[in-house]
Amino acid sequence: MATREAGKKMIMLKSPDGMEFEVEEAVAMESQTIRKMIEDDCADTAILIPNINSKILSRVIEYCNKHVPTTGATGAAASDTVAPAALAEDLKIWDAEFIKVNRATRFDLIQAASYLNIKGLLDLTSQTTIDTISDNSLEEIRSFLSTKNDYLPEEEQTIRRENQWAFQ
Amino acid sequence: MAEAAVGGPHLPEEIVTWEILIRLPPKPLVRCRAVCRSWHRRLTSDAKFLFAHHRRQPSLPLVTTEDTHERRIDALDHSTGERRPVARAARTAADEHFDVLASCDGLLILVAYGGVYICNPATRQHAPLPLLHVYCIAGLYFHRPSGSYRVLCCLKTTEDGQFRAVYQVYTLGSGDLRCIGKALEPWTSGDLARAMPMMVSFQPHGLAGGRLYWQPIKLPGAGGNGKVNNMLVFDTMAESFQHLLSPVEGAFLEPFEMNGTLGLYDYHGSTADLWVLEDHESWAWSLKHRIKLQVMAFSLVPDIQGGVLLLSENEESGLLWQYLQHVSGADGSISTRYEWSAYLKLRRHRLRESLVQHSFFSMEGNNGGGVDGKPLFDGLSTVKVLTADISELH
Repeated sequence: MATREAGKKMIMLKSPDGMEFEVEEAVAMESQTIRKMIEDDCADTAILIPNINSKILSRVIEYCNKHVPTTGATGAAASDTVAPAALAEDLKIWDAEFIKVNRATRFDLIQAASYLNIKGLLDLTSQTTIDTISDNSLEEIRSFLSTKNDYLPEEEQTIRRENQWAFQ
Repeated sequence: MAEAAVGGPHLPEEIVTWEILIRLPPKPLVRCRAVCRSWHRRLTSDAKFLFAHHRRQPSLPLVTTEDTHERRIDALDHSTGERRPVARAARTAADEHFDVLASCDGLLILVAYGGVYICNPATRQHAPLPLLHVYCIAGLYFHRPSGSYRVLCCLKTTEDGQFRAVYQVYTLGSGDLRCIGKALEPWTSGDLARAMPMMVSFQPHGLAGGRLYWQPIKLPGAGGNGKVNNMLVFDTMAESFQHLLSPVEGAFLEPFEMNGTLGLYDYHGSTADLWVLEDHESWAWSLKHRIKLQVMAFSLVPDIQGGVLLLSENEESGLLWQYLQHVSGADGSISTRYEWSAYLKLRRHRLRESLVQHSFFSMEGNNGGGVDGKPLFDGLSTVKVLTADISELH
């Protein structure tokens, strides 16, 4: 594996559209999927990430860079001067900015977070969708997820009636 | 399952199911059955999904509460500060018995409206258990070898003028009632047998790792002071009785289920020690933590997150007030007091909601698969409970 900056292991992530991203191993290991590949020694110098295009992969790496626990020389200095509560607050603000993307990008990020198994990113990206399904009408849920209503009107009425209490 | 799609941003069904729907609470998930056919199939009959969803739900403590017009069973979600009404019964002139008798995997056995019912509050299903008497129900469990849910019943008989406690097992759905014999001595004869089915404290307190555990009792035995603290255990796989030595003696020992293992709180004075059963076979217990209680409790139940839920009384200007508090932290300092307008009692049973389907709700004569909002589940909705300023207490 390539090394840079005294002792920091670097790893190459490749998107299917041919882009390559060199990231610190610790950052890549925010993904449990990649962590497992590295720990099982399945990772070569470069890991191909299927199904995640370079635009989404770069955003995922951006998220992991921000969320990787700060250790090592420069990281320790940073956490010495900033209180943990302030760090958490800073991360929350950063997350809120990060997630200001359109629905299509958000869905792509959910899929990437799911495939790469990055719990924090998955929680962050899926929350709006979960809230939408929890709080909105069936019509709004279908439109949000681009899901077609394949019930006949009378069938839908029957199912609504059977589960009437859940609509109250 | 091919999902009908229209244009616009789209998520694969696998992701929608396992990353989105699985995180929804039961009620919106029931509503989602009406979104489209494939969701309906998944949310009513995909056992793998429904079981995984059940396992993610919090296990909530139950309380019974009452006011002038109704009696209710509520689940308290301390993490969200919500009270979730689970079942209700209107108060009538007769004012019949209303209580939760057993719980397992999101199912509750309730006594209400003069009968005993098995019900699932999350799906609003219920079915009568006509053969069972309220005083005989000892516990509800999943019998893994047969894949059925069973009720452990304790019956009192008299032999040569002596009380005997005899146990029966009732299989839900089949109606099969089978005698499995007596428990171990001394639980099965004499004073203990006389008290066994009647008193709540002689009911099993926790179902953990496939075993029902009763509260420890002091027995004459081989201990240093001639006493041992012993617990009756029912193995739900073998459907037979065992016993277990508790780690400490005490007048107030409270066994409870803690993420699949058995926990035991030992309350003495103003402290509560949490013991955990590390290994059932070798009776190996370990002391996990100690909480200092800053108020005198007259009733408390453990909370699985490592705290206790307690009721305390306080006299204010000649009136006796009852407080519900959640206490955690080693010195009991992390405390939340809930405003609860009605009279309430803490129950040992907990509810982990489940949308898993059970055939015993669709028994003959139980109309519409037992889904009937009225009268057990009529008009129930989640309520935010207010937390009060704790400083008033001291």
